[in-house]
Amino acid sequence: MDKISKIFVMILAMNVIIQLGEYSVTGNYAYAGDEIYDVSKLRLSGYGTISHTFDDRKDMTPIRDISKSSTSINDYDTNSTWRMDSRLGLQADYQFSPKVEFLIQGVLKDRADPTFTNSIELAYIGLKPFNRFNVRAGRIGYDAFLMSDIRDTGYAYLWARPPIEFYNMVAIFAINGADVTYDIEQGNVQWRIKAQGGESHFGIDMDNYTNDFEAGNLCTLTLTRQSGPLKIKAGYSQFTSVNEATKTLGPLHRGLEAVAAIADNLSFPDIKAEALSLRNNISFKDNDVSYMTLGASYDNGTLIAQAEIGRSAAYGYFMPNAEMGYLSLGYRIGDFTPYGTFSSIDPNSDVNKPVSDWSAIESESFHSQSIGISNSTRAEQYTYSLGLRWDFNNQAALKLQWDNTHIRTYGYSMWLWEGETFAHESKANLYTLSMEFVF
Amino acid sequence: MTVTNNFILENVSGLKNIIIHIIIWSIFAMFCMEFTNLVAAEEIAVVVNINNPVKSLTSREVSDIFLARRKVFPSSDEAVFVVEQPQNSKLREEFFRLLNRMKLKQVNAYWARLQFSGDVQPPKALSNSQAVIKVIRNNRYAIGYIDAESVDDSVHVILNLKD
Repeated sequence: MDKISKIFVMILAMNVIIQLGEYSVTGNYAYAGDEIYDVSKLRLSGYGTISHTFDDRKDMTPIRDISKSSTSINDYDTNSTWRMDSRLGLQADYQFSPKVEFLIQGVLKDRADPTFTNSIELAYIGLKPFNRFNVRAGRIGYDAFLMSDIRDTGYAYLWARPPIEFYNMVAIFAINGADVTYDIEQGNVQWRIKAQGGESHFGIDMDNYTNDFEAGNLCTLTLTRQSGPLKIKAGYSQFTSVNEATKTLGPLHRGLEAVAAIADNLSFPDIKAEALSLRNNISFKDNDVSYMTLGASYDNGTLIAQAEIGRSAAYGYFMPNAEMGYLSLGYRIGDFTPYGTFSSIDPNSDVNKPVSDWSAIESESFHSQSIGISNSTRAEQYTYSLGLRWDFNNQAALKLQWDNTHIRTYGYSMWLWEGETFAHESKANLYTLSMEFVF
Repeated sequence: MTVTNNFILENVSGLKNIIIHIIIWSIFAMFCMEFTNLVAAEEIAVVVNINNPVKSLTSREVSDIFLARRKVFPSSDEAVFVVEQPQNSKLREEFFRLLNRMKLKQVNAYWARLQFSGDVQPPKALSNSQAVIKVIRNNRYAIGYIDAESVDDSVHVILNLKD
């Protein structure tokens, strides 16, 4: 029996004990009367987004986050897609008692590895053993940032999508594990401490192969302060990337190891050192990744403001290693909310450049290809967005958004591109029309 | 060439008129909607169980409770049991307007965030004020709101909301 199954069994056992306690010890169930009891147990609900995105580039196409499939969007000539933001979520929650609930949520959307298991984004037992304490175990939402556990529910936020510069690399949506929440009231201020632990799996498409990404030993700690319309949240999260993207990077690794061996035999220590450095840095395996974030949101009914800054740290070229942030302002005028956002990401590493001459072993082309790959996952860009949200119904809204993005040389990891596009600075425009709804 | 230019200018001018009309009518429609909301005010009573030791709450405290920011009664360690009115009812719309100026659309978007992140599930919605009274009468730590005309001796009014 694996760890997750053991946790499930323990939680179910606790559930039974707590429920027995509810009936036999107090005999005072929180719901009154059979009528109320019946309607209280099961709730079915859901959300959806129908969205069409247009871009003005023939040579590249945007990626909402790195868990998206590339096969559906790598047709660069096609400037429009339904797949980037459209999705449908269905949720069922069953309230066994005021202290025990079960919740399951499935999300249909474009993803690199669209299996049934991956489509279940929430499936947990939630317990409230004491007031102010909340424990969830099973598959839970990744809660390290202001938006990381609500990105799919577009109706809940202002924009067409959370700023790509901030959330593109945060591909973890769900964790198999558990979390504990403790709420503290201090006058009109509410504090929340939340800790999560577990692991996460999802697919990443690279070069026509889908690689299994596993975030192991994942843990997060967040502290949230809510005071009326103002919410401030600080978070720290870390995990280890367990797997190698062998399908995509295997041939490159073998080539670099061969170059290192040849250079060693022919006594070219500089070439050997560079080949081994590239081999070790272009890798996912056993890489420790950490995120630190600070975010704030404010909504007084008229003015809506939200900002978040973050820093991700990891080893090598292929894992997120950058500073990112955004600031968004919106103003409600009746059912219309115009808004503007600025978002940016700056890598913590310079563009990788050749340090030795591989012509001595007749491998210039492979050298340049390897350097190119090492720079392909750098992200260096900023975006100005303008948009309008129209709440035309109590449970539905239309959004129109224009994004103007400036991408720096070798900073194209948030796009799929062809040819040498990534070797030049450029601009791109993205236009999105979407309808969001909940039911 | 001149004919083409005139054609373009006429059409651009026509388009401009249409846009101006749309803007004017949109602003007028928004004012009408706001006015409709203002004249539809009611008096609403926030009620708790008659044995609840908490005897009064501020608007801010009630707002925090109904937005799931506050999980226990102030100066108490007892978990609140919130009961709601139907999601898109006029009474619920008036309640949030009088309580914290939030529109129903904002409240629904706010709750979507809590609900679909799995953080907190929305309170159970009952069918009317009588159903709310019935639940509050039977639960010491329940809280709900009803139209003021429905208040009877079996519940305690903890806050009155009116224009």
